[in-house]
Amino acid sequence: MSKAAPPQVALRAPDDVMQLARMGASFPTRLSFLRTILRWLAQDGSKVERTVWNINEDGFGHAVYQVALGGYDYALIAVSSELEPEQRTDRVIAEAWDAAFVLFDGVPTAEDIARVCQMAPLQEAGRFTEKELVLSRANKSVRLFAHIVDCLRNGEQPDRQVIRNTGYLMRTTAVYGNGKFGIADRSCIADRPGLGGPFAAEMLIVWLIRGFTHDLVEHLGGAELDRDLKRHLGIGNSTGLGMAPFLVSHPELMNNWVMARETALARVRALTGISTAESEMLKLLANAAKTHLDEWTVPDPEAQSEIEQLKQDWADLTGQLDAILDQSQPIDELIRISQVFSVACQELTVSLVLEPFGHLVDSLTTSMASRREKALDPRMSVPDLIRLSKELCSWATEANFENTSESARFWYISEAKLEPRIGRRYEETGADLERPLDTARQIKFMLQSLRTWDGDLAGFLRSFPVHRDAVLRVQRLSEYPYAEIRGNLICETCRPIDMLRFKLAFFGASKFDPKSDLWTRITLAQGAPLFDELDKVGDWWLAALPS
Amino acid sequence: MKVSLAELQAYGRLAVRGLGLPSAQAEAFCKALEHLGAAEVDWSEMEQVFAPVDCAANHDFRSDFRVLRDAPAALDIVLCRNQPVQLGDVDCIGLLQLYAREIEQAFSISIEVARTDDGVELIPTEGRPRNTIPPVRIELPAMCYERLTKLASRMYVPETDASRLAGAGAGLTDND
Repeated sequence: MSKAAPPQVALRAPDDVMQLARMGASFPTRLSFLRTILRWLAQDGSKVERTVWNINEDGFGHAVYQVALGGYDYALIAVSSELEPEQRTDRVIAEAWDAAFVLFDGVPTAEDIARVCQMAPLQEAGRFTEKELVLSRANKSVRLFAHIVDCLRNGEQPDRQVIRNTGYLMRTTAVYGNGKFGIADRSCIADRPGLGGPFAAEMLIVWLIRGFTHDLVEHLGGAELDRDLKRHLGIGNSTGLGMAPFLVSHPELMNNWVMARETALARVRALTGISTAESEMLKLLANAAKTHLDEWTVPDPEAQSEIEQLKQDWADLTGQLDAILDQSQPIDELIRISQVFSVACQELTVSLVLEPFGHLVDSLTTSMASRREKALDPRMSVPDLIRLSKELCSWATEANFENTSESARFWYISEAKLEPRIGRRYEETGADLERPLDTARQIKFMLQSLRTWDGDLAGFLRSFPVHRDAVLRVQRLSEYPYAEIRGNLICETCRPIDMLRFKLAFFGASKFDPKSDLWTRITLAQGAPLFDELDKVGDWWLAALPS
Repeated sequence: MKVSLAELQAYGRLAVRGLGLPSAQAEAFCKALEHLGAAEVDWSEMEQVFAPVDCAANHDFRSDFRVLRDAPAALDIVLCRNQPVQLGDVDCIGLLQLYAREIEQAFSISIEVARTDDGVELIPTEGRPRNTIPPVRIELPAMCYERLTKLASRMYVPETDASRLAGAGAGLTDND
């Protein structure tokens, strides 16, 4: 007999949740993919073993780490190389990196290791096999890396404030999965325990890479870092436009991520009374979040100003926690009261309230992957399609595409290393080759064509094959309400950074450090358990390094 | 050349668009490719479908790659009317079988694909949809790879100084 789902209140409305501005204010939750894979490792009693350390006194060479999960062996093969400063760029157009990595399926032989050591530093120019599950590369955070090495060599521990300022020794500039450059397709691992969740293999390699960066800096410094400092050194990531089209081309997957989070929220909001321990936990976490916010500083004035506002809002909201948590439906009340503060404060509150209630929400992570995607149903009647479009797609139908600012941008693939880019439609060439991220415009144009159509839907699709994608997107929304970003992604005011933050938060990223509307740096696994601390896997959310 | 399914889909998606077809047709082709593991593939069909053609000068689709445009609409009609549909002047029976498998799985029906004197017929039949196992690795003939990648490259926008500097994020050096 299946267990009944816990009670829940109504889900938040997709028209609100999927607004770009709200998506761009997302925070990691306990459902984030990195948290999930670490829970899997902990539950499985996994141990990480460094089986090869062939790194020279300058820090160059290769290392192998082995870990078992769910009855399968995996290996991180890390290759550290010398890099000239002029070659160090976070862009896709880079051709060399400080380090390259592969998550290998199984226990690699000496021949496997030799092959990966040859290919991994080539990244996109290399050729890989189905034994390689994930391919990645990273560059050093030059100043912090040098500072820590110097300190350790001098018999000292590094400055805590310097560690706070950056928070990672290396930042990845790409983490490729699912068949890229010949590596294994996701279907090869989708049924494996622990790796079946979205981006699970990618998050596993990211956590392993972080451990490698700790070992590398200690190797060069000739001494051990204090454990709390090491724990605070996460792994950075520099993310550009490549992430945004993914959300548009994987609508059901995006729906499943958001549906899981929103269902989790609806469950905790339905709680009538919480235990003293849960109440104390919420207060502790709220305070930890405050310390985290105090530590989160970024160079961009606008972003810093938003953080300052958030800090103020957070203080005002959490100052009322004692009274709110005494209410009969305390989490619902907390969420309701948070609505008067900034969107960032609201989303941080959502993230907070899930934390103490793993027993209610963690199982939802099993629903976050996507298998068979919905197919277009040509049997739908045209009036039903029009009705659905009007009901579910006001964000598309209300846009006025006669105004050029509504179509000012276009997304494309540059011939330069196939870097994803965004251009200005009325100022640059290339708009005829744009990627189909113009969902709002497609739906609007599809409706315009339907207005004068008096046949059935199959006939319409035969006459207007160009509208096929829009028809499917509308149909899909009736079953997958969070499958579309409720905004116009080609308008002048669209901020791609909002999409990046949304996706990165689901990965588990924090310390968002936007460098423009087009890219951001972030930190992953800050405060996460070290290789020998998987028994403490429940104890981290938003990390802070005490003074 | 051995490729992953995702790689083949990535090339295929852009190649279909490089032929001048809409994105939904590109996606339908990619979904069809997911059934490669369950069918014998006649790669010469694929080579024929993706043979070089100057789309800008010729919007009258050649019969060889009409299948990419018409297969989704033909299967729509099979689904709506539950009657056989004839695709005249089309020869790619293997490729159409992949498209049919996708619809079979999505709608739990069965569709037979049969050659006729002047084309191919899609016939709804009694029966259950056939199972599909995604291919682990695909041996892609060199000619097919070349044609797909060449067509895909039509979708890449040539770089300018402005696009290099402002089209994407991050600096050209990041040594902080």
